[in-house]
Amino acid sequence: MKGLILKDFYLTIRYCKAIMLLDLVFIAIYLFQKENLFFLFYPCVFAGLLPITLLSCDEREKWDSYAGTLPCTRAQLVSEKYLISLFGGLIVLLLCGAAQAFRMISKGAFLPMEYLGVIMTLAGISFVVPTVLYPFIFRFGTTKGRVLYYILIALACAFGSVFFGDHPGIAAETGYRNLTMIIAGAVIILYGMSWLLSIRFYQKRDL
Amino acid sequence: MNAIEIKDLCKSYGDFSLDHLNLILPTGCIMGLIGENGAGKTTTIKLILDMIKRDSGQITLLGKDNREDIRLLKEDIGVVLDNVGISSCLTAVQVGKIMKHVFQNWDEGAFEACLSRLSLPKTKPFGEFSRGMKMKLGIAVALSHHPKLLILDEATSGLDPVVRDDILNIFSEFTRDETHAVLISSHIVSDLEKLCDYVAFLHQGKLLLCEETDRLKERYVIVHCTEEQLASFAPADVIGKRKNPYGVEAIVSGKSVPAHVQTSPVDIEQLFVFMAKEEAR
Repeated sequence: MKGLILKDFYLTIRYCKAIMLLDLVFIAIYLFQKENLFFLFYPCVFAGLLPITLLSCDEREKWDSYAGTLPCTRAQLVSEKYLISLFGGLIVLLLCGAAQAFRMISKGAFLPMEYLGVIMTLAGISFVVPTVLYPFIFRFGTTKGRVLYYILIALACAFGSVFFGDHPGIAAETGYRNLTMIIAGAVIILYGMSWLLSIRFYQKRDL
Repeated sequence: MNAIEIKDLCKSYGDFSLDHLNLILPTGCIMGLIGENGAGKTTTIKLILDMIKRDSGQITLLGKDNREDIRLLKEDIGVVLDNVGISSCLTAVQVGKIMKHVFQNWDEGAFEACLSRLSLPKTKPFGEFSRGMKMKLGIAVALSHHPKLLILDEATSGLDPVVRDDILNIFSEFTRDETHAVLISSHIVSDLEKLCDYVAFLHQGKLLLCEETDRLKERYVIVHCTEEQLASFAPADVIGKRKNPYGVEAIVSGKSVPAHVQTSPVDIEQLFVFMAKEEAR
């Protein structure tokens, strides 16, 4: 498992520089513009894109077949990708959380429940894509998975516009806050279920 | 002990099926799996490694069922695939660091020695390697965890003769240890003829034969004769025939050839081509 993670670390450094840079740019823009959570949503969506990019590379370079010859179980091959997603998502979440805290504190209006609502929303956005996509990718490959991914991005952006686009304080409103907490909580639980489902699918897949 | 035992192995896709394959590779030997493109060589290798699911049959590797604990078994198996499969941005040094955490028996010294012996650059990305260098790195990885069994899928295809010779020498050295074995698939039959103790012919998913290389060459000869002369041979002794402007060229069992018929020694490639064409007829 450690070897697989190290390999993806090397690939991330090589292939995902642009994604990481974009994340930082969006977070920086968020710090200096009129409050619009959209600039925090994007880095989270990009975080979901990172492991998909790695999986595409694996498929293109036939690493997925090669990995099947190595002394690694199918469960390890799947779990490594979920762990990469988790690490990537948490790092972006940490950066976004810090940016949000900085904004709230600098405005002198740090409201813990509102802050938690935003963080949970971002967590939900970070993990919803891999949660939904991974089982499809591990079952059908990345090409079909990518199509679904772009549909999900469109849906996530539409969701963001409706709920937060013009109403930066919306998370503070109790009803929405509870809703986002429930959705984010559900995504985190579903992430675990998706992990198990992907392992099950990948066990049956021909490499 | 046998390195590989395959019994009644079947695998069916829509347009292809591997049909009741039976093979035994004893330790200390090299077996060449010969077949045209699409004959089922890669499918067989993937089934051996449990990378694809079989429909029926049994596979034993190094004395253990290949589905019992394939992860542990793969610690003792070195594999080189046709495409190698190493990510193009990785350097040999990075590959070594990765494999150190993948294989329990990874030997950094052996890997370094392989890189030097095969003249492989340590810091050049894999994607910038020539095909020969890619194969060499795949082989270096496959050999650096002290495997007992090497499985090579088209590992010599597309290589220049010098590199091919180097690589074939490495495989020969590997089987000097009687506990080691090599299964190598290729459609470059001349390579396998030089290297292999056994050859197995696969054609359209069926095993045409599996024999010791030397015994095959002893058993069969090419006869050059007329159609009438060939008709005097027992049909079972004629493996395959080809008409030419001067008469007929056929591969027959050596013991059945009358003294007056002109013969020449058969090589494995001719034998395979004749058998495959006869089978298709």
